[in-house]
Amino acid sequence: MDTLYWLINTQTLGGMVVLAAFCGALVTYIFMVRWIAQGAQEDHK
Amino acid sequence: MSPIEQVVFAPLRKTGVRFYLLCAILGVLVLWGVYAYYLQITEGLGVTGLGRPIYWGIYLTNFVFFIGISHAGTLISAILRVTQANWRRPITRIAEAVTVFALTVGGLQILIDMGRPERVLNVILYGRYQSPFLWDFTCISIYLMSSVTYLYLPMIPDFARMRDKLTDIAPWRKWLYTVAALGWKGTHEQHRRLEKAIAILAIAIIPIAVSVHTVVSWIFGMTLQPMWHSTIFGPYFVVGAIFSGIATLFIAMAIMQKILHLEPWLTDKQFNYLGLLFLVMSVLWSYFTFSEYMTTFYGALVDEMHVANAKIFGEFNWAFWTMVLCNGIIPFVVLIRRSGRTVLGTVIVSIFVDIGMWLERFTIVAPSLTRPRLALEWAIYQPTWVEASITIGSMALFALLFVVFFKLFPSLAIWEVEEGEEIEERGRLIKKLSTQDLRAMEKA
Repeated sequence: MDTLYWLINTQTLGGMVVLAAFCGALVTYIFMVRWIAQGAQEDHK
Repeated sequence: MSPIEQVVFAPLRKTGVRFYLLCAILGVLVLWGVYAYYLQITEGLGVTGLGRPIYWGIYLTNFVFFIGISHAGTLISAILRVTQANWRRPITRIAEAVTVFALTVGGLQILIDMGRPERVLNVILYGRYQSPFLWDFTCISIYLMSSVTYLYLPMIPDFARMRDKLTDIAPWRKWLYTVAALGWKGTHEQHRRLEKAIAILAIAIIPIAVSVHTVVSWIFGMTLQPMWHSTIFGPYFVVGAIFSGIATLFIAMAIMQKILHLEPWLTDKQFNYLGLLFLVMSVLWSYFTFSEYMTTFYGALVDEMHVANAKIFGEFNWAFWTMVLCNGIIPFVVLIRRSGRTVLGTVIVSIFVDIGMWLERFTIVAPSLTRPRLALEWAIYQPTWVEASITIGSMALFALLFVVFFKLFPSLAIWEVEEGEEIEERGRLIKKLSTQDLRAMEKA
């Protein structure tokens, strides 16, 4: 319980969670687009 | 070029005077809003009707309204895609564009509401995750990114078509389409990957969209303000969001159908089916509203009754009853009959619903703040011309982004529509075949 309290009440930690979620989603979508673009080469092989 | 390409590409190749005129009008309205915002920044929030204890007013109303509209798109498009509703194909692009621009303008309202907008960075620098604002920040930023991706992915094959077939356009546009097409060749593997990615995103985006408006409702629901501290605010907001989203989508669809000559694809079928969903949302919204007010009146807590009375019988009664008329009565009377679920019928109802839903957001935001629990802090909220100008400017910005977007990019997902036509054609052929033919085919 103390750990949970610390996690949600510590300054900056919340901001880091937001940043991590944002960056995680961004990287996932970039890889998704890259995977689609590479589909042309796969077909060629 | 195929017939659909000829129609869809026509406005991308030629620009008439009407386009520039529309952009000029919307641009002037946006600039007027920018001027009002400049005054607000230089003079301070004193030029608005905001102040203690009414910290949130029209700007937060706009925020909730625009975020609500954003559910039009991606959520409706995703649900229809997941359920494989074939009639969705001509409306998905418009719906997804509504989402992205509504989210952009909605997010701006938070910055506008802040007296010191640069302090928005404090959310990252000093944010603690116990604050619902951080939940909001997380959900909205992920939703915006997901919506942009969800809009972009089905556009890739269309970018390739424009790259290959639009020869009479400016070089920078040619370059834009080439880059955005990602070297698309339309191979089997590329199509397979694209459709898989769209399907995954469509499934993922539904809970994201639901979480967004639930969390938006929690910035109210997690406080102890009278009539905000409600357990049904989450689903109530989500239903209202989809409801206002469909309304905006109908208006956009009707305008584009007329101006861009999309009648062969945006047919009565789309307006009828979506009209039925619209009717369901109206009934659901009415049910939630009744439930919300019924429990307030039955409990009759003193602080809550002050707010409820102000809404229903007091200074906000004009907004409350207009909201009931626009969101509950008019949609039900018009949409219940098949003859009401036409282009004209749905557009008229949609205009009322958009007005009604904006007022609904207003009657949630303002009355509770004018009557806080300490009676000595009661206040009157009177929005000023600055707030009205910024609101009009924001709406004009939304429209301007939409108009410019569809000047550069196709209004229909051409490959998806063609695919849908092929599926329908095959279905028709199968129906024509007799049982004997089918047996012979099975044997073969």
